[in-house]
Amino acid sequence: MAEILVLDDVLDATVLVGKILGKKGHTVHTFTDEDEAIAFVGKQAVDLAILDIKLQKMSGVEVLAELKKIRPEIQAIMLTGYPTVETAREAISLGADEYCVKPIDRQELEDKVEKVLKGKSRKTALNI
Amino acid sequence: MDFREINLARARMYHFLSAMFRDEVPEALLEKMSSGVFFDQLLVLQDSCSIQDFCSGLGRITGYLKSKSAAAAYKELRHDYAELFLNAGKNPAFPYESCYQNRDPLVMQEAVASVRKAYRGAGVHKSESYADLDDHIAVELEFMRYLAEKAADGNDQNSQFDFLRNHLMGWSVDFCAVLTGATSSDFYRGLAELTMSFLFNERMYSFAALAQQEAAPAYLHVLEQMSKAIAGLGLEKGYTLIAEGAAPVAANRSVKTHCYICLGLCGQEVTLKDGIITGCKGLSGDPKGGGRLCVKGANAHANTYSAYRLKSPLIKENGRFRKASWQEALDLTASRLKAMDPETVAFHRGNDFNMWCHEGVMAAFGTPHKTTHRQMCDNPARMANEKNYSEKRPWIDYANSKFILLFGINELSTSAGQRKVALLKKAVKDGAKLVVVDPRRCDSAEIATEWIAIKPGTDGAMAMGMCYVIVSEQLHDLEFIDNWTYGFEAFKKRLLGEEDGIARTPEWAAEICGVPASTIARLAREFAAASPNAGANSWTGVAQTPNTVHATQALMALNALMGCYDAPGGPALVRKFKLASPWADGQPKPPNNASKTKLNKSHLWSGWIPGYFEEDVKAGRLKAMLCYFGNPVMSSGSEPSMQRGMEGLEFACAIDCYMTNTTALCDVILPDSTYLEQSRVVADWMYESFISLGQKAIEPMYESKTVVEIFSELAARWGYAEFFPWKSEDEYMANQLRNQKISLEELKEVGYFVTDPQEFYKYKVWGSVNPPAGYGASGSSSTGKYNFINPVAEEKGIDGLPDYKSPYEDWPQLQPDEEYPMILGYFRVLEHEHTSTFHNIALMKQQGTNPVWINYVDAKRLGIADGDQVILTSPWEQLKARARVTWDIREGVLAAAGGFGGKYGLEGDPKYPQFSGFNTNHLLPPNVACKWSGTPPLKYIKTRITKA
Repeated sequence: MAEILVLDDVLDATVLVGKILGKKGHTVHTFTDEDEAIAFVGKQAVDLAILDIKLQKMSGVEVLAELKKIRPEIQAIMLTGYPTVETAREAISLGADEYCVKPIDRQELEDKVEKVLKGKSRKTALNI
Repeated sequence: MDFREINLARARMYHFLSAMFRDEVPEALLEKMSSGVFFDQLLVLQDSCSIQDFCSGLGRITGYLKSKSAAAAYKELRHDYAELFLNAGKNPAFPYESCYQNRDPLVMQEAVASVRKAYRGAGVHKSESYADLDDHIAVELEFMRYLAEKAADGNDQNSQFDFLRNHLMGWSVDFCAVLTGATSSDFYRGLAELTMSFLFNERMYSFAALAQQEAAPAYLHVLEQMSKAIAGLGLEKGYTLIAEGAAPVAANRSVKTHCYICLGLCGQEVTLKDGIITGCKGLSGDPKGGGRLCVKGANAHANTYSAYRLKSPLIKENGRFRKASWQEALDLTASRLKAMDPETVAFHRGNDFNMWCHEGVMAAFGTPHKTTHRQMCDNPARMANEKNYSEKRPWIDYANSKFILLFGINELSTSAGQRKVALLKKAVKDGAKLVVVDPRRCDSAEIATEWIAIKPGTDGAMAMGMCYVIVSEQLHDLEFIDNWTYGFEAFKKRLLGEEDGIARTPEWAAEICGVPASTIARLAREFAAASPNAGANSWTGVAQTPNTVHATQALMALNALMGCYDAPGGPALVRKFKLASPWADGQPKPPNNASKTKLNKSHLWSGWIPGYFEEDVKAGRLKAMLCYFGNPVMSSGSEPSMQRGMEGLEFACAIDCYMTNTTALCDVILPDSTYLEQSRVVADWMYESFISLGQKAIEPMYESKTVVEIFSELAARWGYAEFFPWKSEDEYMANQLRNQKISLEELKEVGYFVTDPQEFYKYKVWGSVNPPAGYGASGSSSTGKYNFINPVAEEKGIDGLPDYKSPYEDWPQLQPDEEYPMILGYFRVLEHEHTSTFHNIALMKQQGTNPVWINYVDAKRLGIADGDQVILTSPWEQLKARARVTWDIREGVLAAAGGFGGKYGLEGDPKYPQFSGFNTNHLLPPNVACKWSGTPPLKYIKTRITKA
């Protein structure tokens, strides 16, 4: 089972994702604050980060960049309610494994997380 | 809109996007898009659209179409299309789902099996008339159109959403993001935004539809308006990329063939599932590979399935490539070449795949200037062996050897999959002594009993010192020398200094080569003690340094002095049971219209020497080139000089699988097939004589053609169609096998056929070192014996005896000096084959860059640390590299893996910055080649290294 970090500025969203993945046996660490999430990754190994792109202080893409600096091996699923090719480009350039649009249903979330953790979709960062 | 209208509107949108991606956008369609209903409707929608990227995409597309005429847009977009989707550019946007599973540039992966399953489920298949792949975005979009139209008719609703979620949504984000980053065209950037936005909204629509809720009004508005706009384009009613009827699943099978990724021809078994290559393994029992493959052979299909493959003919216009039909590209190539004096046309071929065909065609065309990789590879070794003995590369019978002496030949990297290397390793493990002479501790040196870190280019001196010891101490095999050699007395005089007063003693040699005299003498005595079960051999580590014909003769003379030739454990005599002609009895053979003109002359070898390419072009001696499977710009000499030569040609055409530093400089490129897509038979040898089948595993991909097809088409345009009449590969292969004891059908089942077992001392039976009638080898000895004196030199009246010849008399500019004190060269690595594997992601992941090796002591003196960026400067050029500080290279020597420095493929693609290297040949002097053999000094470049 994996250590998963969830970061969303909406507390309910983090709780919901935490519940879904917690039931699958993962240890989920939820955050609404970017700095706290980054500091956490500095202290503890995390396998997967699920990051909302629209946050309060930073963008999810910026957070991903910070997390990759600390732990280059960390895998990431980006979530957004406002998909644009620009944010997709940034996320992919930083090595995000998946770029998903909200709302994401339970099954889809479980599938994506499993796929990413099993390494089936371990993806190369593309400099685009 | 009601349910049916919504689905039809969605289908129309899918139809439109599919039409945008499936090929170049036709001028007539651009004309319709630039005006009338479509354009007006798009402007209306722009004002009322509230979906962010969709609006932005529309704005970019309309802005682009408004900015120029349809004709101008068509012209420009053709180039964009070729660069983005046909791999004519450095930063392509691969339009295949397979490429985004792991973001590796590989096609025909699991995604294809998965989309085929979906197509079968819906009772359709990718249309045979569409030469692109099943998971191309245009095919998937058209399939969605199909499903949406079915849904509009009240049929299954869910399968479209399953396909959307499991396929398009899973990769279209990556694709659109890549396309946006890759293109400088507002048209394609707009299209990327439009596509991604549409698909995201489709996803939201699917949620609503599945929950039986109303779709978002903003999206319905977009659909309604776009549907009206697209209706104005008059797109075809039927399906273009998919066809009715589920395609049957092709049975699992395996194909027995021979690996040609390094041209080494190890037996290979290719496994296929539903017609897709899933793996390559060694062919059990095969004489060449012995059931083994190296990492290159095991990943050979990643060359075939590289997403960087060239897919259709390309023609350059105003400096950029565009797609062309075969007819147009072949007509242009044939007419441009035909209009030239054949004596000004060069034919460069990098391999020998069905060479009887392309050589036959080019001989009929009439150019005398043909070259292979020979001149840049190992011509000195060939010159030293093929007339002195009867074979250019007399491989040592490692299995029975007690003492193996390798000069500049790194078998463990260059021939890793071959059976001989397994035998070499076993011999060493069982106690044979392996001595590797190389300035660098190469892979073979790693397992050697002794690594002799010799000064580059001085192997001839060391070998002469060894020969001196053997002769002066009378250790040599008098019986062999008396009966089976020619010129010994002259050689002895040379060794003992009776000619010029300089005895080639170990002390004399040590001064030159930097190997202690005592070591040279000891190795000579050990070699003699182990003889005749001993062998000495060399390859490009010697051949690509200056003046090494005589050096190679010197080291090969060790075998002759000790009677090792064709002894158990010695260099073997080669015999290949010849194939019959591809032309059947009575079939007319093409004329040879080539004159005997020799473009360039060296002391021993004359012909076209690409090392002098720039000079020949400048002087008007060469005006055009046809280049088949080769990258002479990177490999045949100074790269900047070769490039200037190419730029000076009036016309150049390349036949290749990929865009390269050479093809990019051509006017026309014809897409070649990889060896897994075409067939041939060859007579081969690996101790045994055997027939080796190269059997195609799949049909040529995309619009590529086999080399026989391409050259036959050129021949037809030059009026020689009757001489190249074969309707199938089987036809000429059956002709070639008509003198064998095995039929083509039987050979296809087994892959190889041994005609003659391994035997020793064959020359005693033959009465000559030349194989008997019916057999071939790569050379022949005019005396029937081993010649200490090179017969070609003897005939010309020049020095033909083994020796060390200082290069500086001929090439003073090569001598290291205070300003450029070090010697730089390239080496081969197991993971790559010259320049031809740099589009292969599996191999690039193994070895994706090439640091320059520098000795620890040198590095410390120069303040260079491991990993530092350094500047390499020769008197001719300068470049940057990373340093690898190591004890495994002689002081004063620099080396880096060869083949790197491509401007296209994984090295050139900005998406993969982790893959990049440099070409050591960049630093070579221009217009230079060995005065004796024509080989450029690729491993002897005087250089200065400084910390960047």
